[in-house]
Amino acid sequence: VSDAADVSYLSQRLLDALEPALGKHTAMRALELVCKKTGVPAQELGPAEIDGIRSALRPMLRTLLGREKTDQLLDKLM
Amino acid sequence: VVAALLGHGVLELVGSAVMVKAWTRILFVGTVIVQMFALRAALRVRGRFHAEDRGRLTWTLVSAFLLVRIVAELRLSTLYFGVLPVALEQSETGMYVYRVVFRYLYTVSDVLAVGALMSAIAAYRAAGLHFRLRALDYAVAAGVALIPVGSFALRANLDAFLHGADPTIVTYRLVAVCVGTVVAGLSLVLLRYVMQMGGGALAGVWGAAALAGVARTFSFLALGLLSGHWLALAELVEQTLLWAFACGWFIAAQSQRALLEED
Repeated sequence: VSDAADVSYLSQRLLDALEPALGKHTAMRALELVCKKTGVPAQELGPAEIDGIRSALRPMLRTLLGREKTDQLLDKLM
Repeated sequence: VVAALLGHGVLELVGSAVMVKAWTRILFVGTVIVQMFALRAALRVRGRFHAEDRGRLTWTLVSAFLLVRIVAELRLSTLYFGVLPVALEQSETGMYVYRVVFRYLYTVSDVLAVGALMSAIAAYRAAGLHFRLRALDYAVAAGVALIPVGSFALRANLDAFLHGADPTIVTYRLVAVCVGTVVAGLSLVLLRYVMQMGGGALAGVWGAAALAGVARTFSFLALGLLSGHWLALAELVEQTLLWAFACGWFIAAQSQRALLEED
């Protein structure tokens, strides 16, 4: 992921949801992690990848923020 | 520290070393109060994490380190303000244990802080987001590792500061500065990770905690450097850095609480 302009609407929502808690760079890295795990580039991430996004993000978010905040962020994202 | 130096200058101009000492004691009381608020916030943060969350262990250790430190500070305040039970004052062994052995409560607290910082670092590393250290970070860590050497070299200052009244405190200070150096090293690692985040609430939490760790370590160094020349100033700068340390943990705990409680 090189630029925010290169991402899909869902990818941008993901960045917007994560940035306040994790920061701009970490949110971008989280999106890279999602793309790697789902095998879909950031500009093509769409509703079909929702489950993949959730399962890719959950372990990382739980590690950094705990279960409650993770559920809250993922609910906001979806 | 700048405020402490200015405050010291003003107090020296308008008053005396007694006033500087009084200001240092006021700052000490303020530090204890801030630590109590930090503990309250840390316990609330701990309660927000589930038992299986990594954050639960981290904030349990933070709460434990703050609790033990507050107990240690309350012990010190009884010595500062002379409010010891008469029975204890009349017991030589009791006073030795109270003055010398219980002093190491600070070391216990620092060891718990090491655990908390290691747990936070482990969480960053386990997140799979490739937080990294650069060669410069290792060089800085090597520089920080020299602080105990500096403190050892300056121990004569500290002995002069105490007029040889309590030689056991020099040993304690050297032990404390070694543990404090580990705290500072871990804080710098954490700070480096935080700087890679590009802002965000979590960076605020651990950035404040990391700066608190650095302030605590520099409090030892400041005492060692200044106590040979300006006794009252040395104590004031040390206490100011400890106040910054307490504020750092208070900000960290409050920020984490805000992060977990916001919708």
